[in-house]
Amino acid sequence: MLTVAIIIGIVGIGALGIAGRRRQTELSSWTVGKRDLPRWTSWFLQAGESLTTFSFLGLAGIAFGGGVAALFAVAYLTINCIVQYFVIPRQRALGANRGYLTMADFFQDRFNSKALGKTVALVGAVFLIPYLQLQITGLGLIVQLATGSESARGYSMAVASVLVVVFVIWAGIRGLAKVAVFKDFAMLAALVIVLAGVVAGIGGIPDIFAKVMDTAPSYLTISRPGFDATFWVTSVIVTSIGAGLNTFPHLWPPVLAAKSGAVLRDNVKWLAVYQFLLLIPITAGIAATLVLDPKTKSNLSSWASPSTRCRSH
Amino acid sequence: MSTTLASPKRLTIASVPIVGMIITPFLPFVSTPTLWLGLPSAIVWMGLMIVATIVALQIIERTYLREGGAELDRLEAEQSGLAGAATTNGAATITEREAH
Repeated sequence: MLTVAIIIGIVGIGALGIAGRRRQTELSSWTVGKRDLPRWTSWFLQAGESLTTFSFLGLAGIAFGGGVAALFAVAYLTINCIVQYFVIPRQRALGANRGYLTMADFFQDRFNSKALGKTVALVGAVFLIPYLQLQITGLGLIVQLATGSESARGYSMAVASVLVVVFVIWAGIRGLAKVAVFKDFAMLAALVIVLAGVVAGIGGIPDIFAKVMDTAPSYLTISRPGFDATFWVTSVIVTSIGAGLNTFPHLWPPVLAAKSGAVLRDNVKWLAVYQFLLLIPITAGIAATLVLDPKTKSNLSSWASPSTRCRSH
Repeated sequence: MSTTLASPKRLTIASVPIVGMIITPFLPFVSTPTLWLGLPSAIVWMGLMIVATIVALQIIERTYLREGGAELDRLEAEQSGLAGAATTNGAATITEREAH
């Protein structure tokens, strides 16, 4: 029953992206529309990158293994806002004045090299595949956790993959914007439910951290094996450079489609507030150290079965 | 006074929360297990850095608008309006300002 509901939900989200949209047949209208996206549409497209399946599974898993070192994601996403404040208005202005539709167009034009443009397009497409795989796999893991069914995991991943392809090809950036609005509110609700579940199942937030302080205080410092200061500094700097300078090709359309540089600046100067939401899965991951078997793999901690919950430090 | 968005003064303001976040593991209250108001000090510190980021960007935006940015924004809006009227596919004329 739950599996059917989840499949219907996934199909419904896909339909939301297509509904009311004529099929986009021109590349320019598909990628950047008329370059007139207003503030709130741009806001949800930009903010969407802060809340992904990584926010639920990846961060909770890292917190389970590395404790507060998982805050590195909060750090780099916040620094990303600062760097983008200076960078993306310029990228948008160049795009509008010189007709860029993709990141590859930028490199081809600025370095006057078709070969570089093609290389950027190819590398961008190839290395986006693991990112997409991460998101789809995360979806499957969440469905398996909710339903307890491995087949539901497979079905949901297949249906989601097909629907994403169909609605993105059909509706272009405006279809993405509609789904991004729905997704952000749904993710917010889900994070609140996760927090409520942690409080109901394990205890109040101060109680949880007090217990962790007593049983495994290293979770409250950035010193767990593999998650030390070197991990923090290098991962924060490298990912801040990558995200802040817009090296992901899929981050370019929202920038190029925005109505103006002022709209983009207005958005990123507030977008850091989203990072407060990421403190919820991090808290959940640290709280899980109180109830899960310490041998549980950190990247499986957020969907470990109840039978493995026998932990005592 | 500068109409350059990334002026040295504005970059200096922006660097404060960036440095604050990068040095987090070396802060004495993070390198030893510490709770503030029932929360790990690292989480509280990162929350403060998020607030500092928002405040820094508000200050930067205000100085930029006050020192000529508002006029540049107005000109960009005008140019976008003209470009939108002149083309439907987004490819606009190359302005002298953006030329190589």
